[in-house]
Amino acid sequence: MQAGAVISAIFHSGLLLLLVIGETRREMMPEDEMAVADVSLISLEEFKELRRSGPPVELDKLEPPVATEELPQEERAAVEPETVAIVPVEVPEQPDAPAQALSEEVPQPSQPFEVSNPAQEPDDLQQDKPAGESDPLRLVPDGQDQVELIAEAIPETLESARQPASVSEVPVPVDEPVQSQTVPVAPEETKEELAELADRQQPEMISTPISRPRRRPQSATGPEVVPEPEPEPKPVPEPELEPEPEPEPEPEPEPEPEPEPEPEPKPEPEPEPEPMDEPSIADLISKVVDGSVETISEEGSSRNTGPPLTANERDGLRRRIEGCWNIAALPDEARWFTITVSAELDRDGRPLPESIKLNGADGGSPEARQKAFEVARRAIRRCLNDGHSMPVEKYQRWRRLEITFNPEEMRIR
Amino acid sequence: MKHNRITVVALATFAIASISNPTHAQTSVEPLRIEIRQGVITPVPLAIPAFIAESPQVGEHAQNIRDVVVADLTGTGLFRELPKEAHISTVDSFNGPFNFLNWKAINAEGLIVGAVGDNGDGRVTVKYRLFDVFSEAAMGNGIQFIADADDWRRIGHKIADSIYSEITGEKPYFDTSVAFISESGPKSNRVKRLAIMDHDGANLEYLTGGKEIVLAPRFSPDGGRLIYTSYETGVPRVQVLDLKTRQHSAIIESAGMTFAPRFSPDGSKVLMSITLEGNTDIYEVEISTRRARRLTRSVAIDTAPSYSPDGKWIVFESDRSLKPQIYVMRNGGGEPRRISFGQGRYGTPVWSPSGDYIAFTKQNDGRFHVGVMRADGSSERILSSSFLDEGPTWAPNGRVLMFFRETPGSEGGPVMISVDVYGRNLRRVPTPGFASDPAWSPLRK
Repeated sequence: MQAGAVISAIFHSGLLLLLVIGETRREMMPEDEMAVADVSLISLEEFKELRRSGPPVELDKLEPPVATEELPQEERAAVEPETVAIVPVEVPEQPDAPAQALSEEVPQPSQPFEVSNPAQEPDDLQQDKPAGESDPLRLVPDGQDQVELIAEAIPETLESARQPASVSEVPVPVDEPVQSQTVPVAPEETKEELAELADRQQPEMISTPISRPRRRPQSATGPEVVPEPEPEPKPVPEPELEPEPEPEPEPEPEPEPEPEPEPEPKPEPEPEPEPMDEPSIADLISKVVDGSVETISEEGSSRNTGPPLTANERDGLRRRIEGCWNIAALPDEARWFTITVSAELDRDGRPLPESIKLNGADGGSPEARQKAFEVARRAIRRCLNDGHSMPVEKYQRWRRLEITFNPEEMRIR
Repeated sequence: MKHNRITVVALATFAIASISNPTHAQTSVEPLRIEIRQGVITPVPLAIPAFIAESPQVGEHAQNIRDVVVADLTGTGLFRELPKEAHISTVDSFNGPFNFLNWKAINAEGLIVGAVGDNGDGRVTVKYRLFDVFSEAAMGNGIQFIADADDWRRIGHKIADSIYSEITGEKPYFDTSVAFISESGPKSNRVKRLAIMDHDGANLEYLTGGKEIVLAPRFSPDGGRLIYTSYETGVPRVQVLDLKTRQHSAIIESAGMTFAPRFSPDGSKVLMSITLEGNTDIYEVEISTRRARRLTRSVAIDTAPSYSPDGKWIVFESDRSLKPQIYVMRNGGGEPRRISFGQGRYGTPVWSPSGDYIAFTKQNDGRFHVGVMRADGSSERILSSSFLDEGPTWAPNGRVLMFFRETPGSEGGPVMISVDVYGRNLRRVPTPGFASDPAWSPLRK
């Protein structure tokens, strides 16, 4: 897998290099073409006239050529066409006029295309940024708000729990509440059990980054137990999957930037139909952006996604969670809105503890949302604690879950 | 032109980066989306090992307090205790460690650990912790109580309250009292006494001697007073009783009958029905001035008024549309709006302390029901059905109700029943004899 990745990387790096070099060379060519195109607006004769008569500004100053009358008629005749020729000379100055206008922005308008490009790019960026970036920016604070609300809800419930205590008995919060409870020591346990216990509890003690160490032993034990079957090598890519939990928050913002590159390749082929290569590259790129990576790298990507899940596979997982979604202890308020919870499963179908998060809710107070989330989280943990049999070859299809808990039909039961 | 090429190069770079970075490829896969619309309603299994007695002197208290906690929690119907025989781990120290694997193995979702210490001055220190077994983490902070050893029941109720709130998110209701009418003797000559007890039937006390008929007690918002209807003078009169001094007095001197009283949320006023010249209307009496203000003016019988928890609205029963129905009006009076439109007769509405429901009694097809509806009359839900169910009262958290059920026959009599707002966990409240007209107190202070 790694050799393949290296070869792929080398190949694509080469491709990138070729593209960059090719583009650099092309950049040189068009510069000449553009220079010719600009100059072609002025004929050679006109250019000579210009040189003969001096800079346009001076021509204007000298325009009342008093001296011409002093010239002999022959010379006058020779000069008059020249004076008429000034008109076309002034016409070529019109193309220079925009250059002068540009020169207001850029003091030295010697390279018009360099000036125009910077002028366009900021425009494009200004248009794209508000559309593309504003949404993700809105999404992020929303998510933060939810997290903050949840964080606030906890102390509130704690307060309410303390309140009755503060009445007459004067309750005192117990010091040192949780730190020591996860140390896996039990005299009756065997060494194996203790080791297993340690594996499961230690990550919790470390709090957040625990989910990964927990997967390692699983992937390590997988090949040991069943070394032969080919599906098992899939635990091998697990080290690659480890960084996955980090980009988790990204998937939502990602799809939004994706549409941006698409419109850009489209306008390109329209004004310039000649370069046939560019649209094809753009097509490939757009496919990559669309997520149809198979067309470019079938080996890597098809293994990542696998064939779609069947209805039975989906329903099996759904029914499993339904069987554990115990709304007996759900607060009444929480029966009137839905929540969406995200979770990540390991290859055995076990939820990674820290991956279970409240994505959103369509109502309710922060406290009710928090309780609804706790009930949902218990359902996921309780039901999938021992894993859930799902096709490993489709792991990427079910690795990340987005579960909506809708209590509408349970409200009156 | 150049801009286009730059774009192409940039996109090519992006594409190659995408291909060579498996992380991106993987995260681009949409998550599997599932909607859960069905669930289960089953008591949450809790492991509640014996509370640790930190000295031999408090061994019995440790056992008793734990038993109260277990009874309170399992009495809700929301939790069940995993039997001690099923435990494969013990808790020897309040500070752990706890082998969560062993608690998971017996399907415990919550683990409650408690300890009782002797302070040496007649007081005990009781502390507890609640753990979410599957996340192997504490739920909330541990709390400890210091109290007279004789108050072990209240300590148990408070611990149970704290655990209940932590798990369900609802307000607590275990550390409460219930006032009711204790009935004894033959049906033709019942002795009715005002009584008070803990919500679980413990610590029963009689507040009146049984000479006169008493009805419909209601707690003041601070729980320090009871208001009730007494026939001491032969005519129904609303009386107020101070629970500390045990002194009682008529709340208003009226030529007519006064009955169906209910305190305002701030305790400064009392709603009641007054019958004058054969017409019964609802009045609001300012307790400090003993002055009454008439709120309804109809020839119908308007009775059983109850404030909304914010004090802005009043729900009451009236037969102004020929059959008794439920109406809502503003607290100062005004045109009432009917909210009950189902089959049958509706009566004795009580606004829940949480404000979201109104409990009522309904008579239809020869049977009585206790039910709840939203404050606008929607979402009517029948919770009980029997020969005679009547007189609902709310637990202070607005999630549990109590009412009384009369059993038919010459030997029959009223018993008190509790049920949750969904109609589940219908169970009899233990009383020494017949009992009617329950009134649930606010949380004790």
